[in-house]
Amino acid sequence: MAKVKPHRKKPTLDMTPVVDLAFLLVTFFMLSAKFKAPEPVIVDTPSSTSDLVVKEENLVTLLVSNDGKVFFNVDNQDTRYNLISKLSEAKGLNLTPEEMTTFSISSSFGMPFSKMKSFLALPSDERQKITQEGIPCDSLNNELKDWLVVTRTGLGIGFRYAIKGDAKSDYKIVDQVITTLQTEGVKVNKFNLITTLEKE
Amino acid sequence: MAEVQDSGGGNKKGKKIRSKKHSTHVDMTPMVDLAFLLLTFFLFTTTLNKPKAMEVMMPDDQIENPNPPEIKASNAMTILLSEKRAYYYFGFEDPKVETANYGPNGIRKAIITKKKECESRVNSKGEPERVTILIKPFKDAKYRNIVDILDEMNINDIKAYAIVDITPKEIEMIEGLATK
Repeated sequence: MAKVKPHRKKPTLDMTPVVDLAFLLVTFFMLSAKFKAPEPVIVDTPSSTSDLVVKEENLVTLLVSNDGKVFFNVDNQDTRYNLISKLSEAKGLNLTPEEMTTFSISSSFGMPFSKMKSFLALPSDERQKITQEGIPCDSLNNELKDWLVVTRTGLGIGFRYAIKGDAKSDYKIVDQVITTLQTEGVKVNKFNLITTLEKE
Repeated sequence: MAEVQDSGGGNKKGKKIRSKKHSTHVDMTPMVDLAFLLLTFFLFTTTLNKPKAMEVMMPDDQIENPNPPEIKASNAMTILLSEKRAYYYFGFEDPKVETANYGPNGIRKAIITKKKECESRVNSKGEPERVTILIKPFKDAKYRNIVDILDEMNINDIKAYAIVDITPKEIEMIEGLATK
């Protein structure tokens, strides 16, 4: 009887379709991912059971850091540019178009008007080293109100408003922000508090 | 795609040389590894960043309401928020302040008990009465505490609640409890 020769072939698996599929997915997620500009402060939001998803379009976010600083952010680069030019006009800040572009491409902003021009004029790497002071929003000097009045009236877009506060920030500061939102000329009585979904 | 045709090199003397029958399979495994690594990375960065939010409606404080809604003392519950614990009392006159922690066994139990008690009574229109909760943050309250309490309102389906400024009398009450 003839000997049956065992096949000396390695059992190889053709990986090509796997690679095809994997890269297709990679490309999809790469294109659909939106990278966020780094925030000037890390905000650790409190958790809640609310699972309402906030839409990012035309969203004004007011950041409150755990040391009580307030930052302002609004979605979309064009809106940010329009906003800063209106604000520059209204407050006489004399910003150059380059400085306005710098503002429009950075993320949350928190500097008082008096230091805004010098801050925006700095080169990008030096600007990142500076810790921003936060927008003053106490009753004596409420610059946050000026920001909000311009967003509310100057741009002709119906914005949604959200407060993104750090869990450890004092409620006093958040209360000031809410009071500012409700003042004459701004009148935002409905807003969102950004939280993370509770894990149970 | 993966296989590359191995054309045997030409020989000048015309002598046929058998090209070696090497299999020219490219090993795809590292590529797959890399691809899936990237895939997981993008998957995580896209889905984990969706912010969640709770909606808050505040009453318009510019308009002076000529007749503010009256709250029956028997339906009223006041929660005072401080950083570590919550204090609560019922009614308005001569309140007996109690202490609770933030969590399912603390303030939530108190809220549920009060809610049930109010619903067991019926008002003049024949509807069950509703509990009204006044939330008053103390000066050391953190933002987390407010969110926790608003979350309790959602969880327990409390329709009538308001965030109100704390009164000096209530500050005294908390401070009296805290020193004990």
